[in-house]
Amino acid sequence: MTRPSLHRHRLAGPALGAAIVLILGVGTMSAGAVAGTSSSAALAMAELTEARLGLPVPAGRSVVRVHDPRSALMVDEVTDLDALGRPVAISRFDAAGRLISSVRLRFVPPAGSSVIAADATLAATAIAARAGVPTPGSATATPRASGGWLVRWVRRVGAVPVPGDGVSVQLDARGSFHGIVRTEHELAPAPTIPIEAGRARLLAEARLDQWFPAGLRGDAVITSVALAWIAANDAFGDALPGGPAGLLRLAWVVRVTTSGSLAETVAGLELAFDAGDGAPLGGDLVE
Amino acid sequence: MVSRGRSRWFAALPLLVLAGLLAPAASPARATYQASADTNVSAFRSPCVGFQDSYPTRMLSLAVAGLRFLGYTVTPYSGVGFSRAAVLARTVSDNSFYVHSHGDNYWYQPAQRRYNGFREDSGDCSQAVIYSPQIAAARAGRFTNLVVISTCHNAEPATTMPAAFGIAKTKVLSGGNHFYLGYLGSAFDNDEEAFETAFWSALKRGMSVGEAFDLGQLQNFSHALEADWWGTYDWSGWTRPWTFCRRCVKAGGA
Repeated sequence: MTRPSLHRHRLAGPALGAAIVLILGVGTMSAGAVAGTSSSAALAMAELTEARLGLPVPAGRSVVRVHDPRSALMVDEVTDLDALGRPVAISRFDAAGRLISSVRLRFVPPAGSSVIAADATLAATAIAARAGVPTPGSATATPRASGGWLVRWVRRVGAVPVPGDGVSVQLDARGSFHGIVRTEHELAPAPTIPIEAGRARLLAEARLDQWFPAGLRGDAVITSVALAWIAANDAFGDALPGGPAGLLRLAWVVRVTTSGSLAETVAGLELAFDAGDGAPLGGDLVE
Repeated sequence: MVSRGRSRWFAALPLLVLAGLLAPAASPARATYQASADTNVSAFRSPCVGFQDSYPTRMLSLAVAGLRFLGYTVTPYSGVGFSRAAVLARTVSDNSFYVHSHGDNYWYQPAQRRYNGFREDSGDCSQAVIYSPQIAAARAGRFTNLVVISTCHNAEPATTMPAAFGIAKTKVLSGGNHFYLGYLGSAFDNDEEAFETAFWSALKRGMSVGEAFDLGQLQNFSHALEADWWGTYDWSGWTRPWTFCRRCVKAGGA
């Protein structure tokens, strides 16, 4: 069986006609036309941004409009193609023309030596600046198992983190650009008077009492209770609150560490409660 | 409060329904490339725990749809269908394997050392570990094309899991048609789902497995998700006869 062709129109320049719309869902995709002016604007943005990022000039570019239901964003995705029509880089821009992500698609063999964390952070900061992506706050640099570095700025609203938002820059082992992604979800209004952390802890304790039999309950210990902006989910069968997809809510996130028999199946938990009324907002598991 | 009783068939019902929904449609005769997709649901719902975890079934659906698109004849398993005995019985015929469960580097009594593994579902609350040497022995050195181990710990540098599927821990640009994907350390379900959604979606759009990995990683995860791969970056993921690649082959178990 041969590899399927990319469902894209290959474009040789900015002033071209329709491109393909590709709607990304969990299991389905559909396509339709995009206005030529939109594709031209996206191609022009890609040309400018990728030059700033140091990406080589491709043999051609294609553009599709992509909807990602997870982020609820509709973006123009520009793919750089080599002379054989194979993708070598992908950049995405939102409706306002802001860079959402860019990645160089290439295999980088593991390097014998690597830049140090401080140099990786400096390089990533410079890359983000060249791409016009603001990086407020402090960064953390983490070596990647697959090679290179991940330099991450987590978005904060005041002192409260937005764990799934922020800016990440990926570098290869030599400190060269590999990828950049910016995520910024819409935030729901913060509650006027948030419930206390102690109230969230009690709510979590009550759920744990319900969830685990007496023989296992002692294996689940609350280790932290902290505010964060999170997306509600149905991880524990909770009803999802109303509001647009991708909307983040201020929540108390209760971290639970497990041990003993319980840890053999549930290695950790996070329980989220609406900071305004204590309603359960789902959470997350480590299996 | 919940009890730890057994209600295997009742517990397996939603997955049996899912299996029916995802069953392959009739198609012209062609070479069959078997894939198994296993997910542990029983550990994360009543009676084992008092909540109903929605992730395992969703992630199974993603994997089944992705593998089917790539041309595999894929069967989803959960409950009693995802037992150690069942996995070891069918693994020799699998060209591709997906699992979502609890994983770790476990003490393996027969060899008096640790090996990587993951827990079965088995439809009850007592879930045995399936160790990499057991998989290696059952596969008898047979090479696997696409392996996605959606668990904690099974892509750490010392992992023994890739070798169980005949895959060496080497990264090559081209020349083979094999790929192993897994996670390091503790991985949260929400991040794994985000990664795998992007991964399978990219494959469906004609990206290579390496490119799909790059796009999977191109996200701001809620936690520090760390993934790794071994195999052939440029391979499409599509079924086809195995291409010999000396650097890619690993005698299983070690």
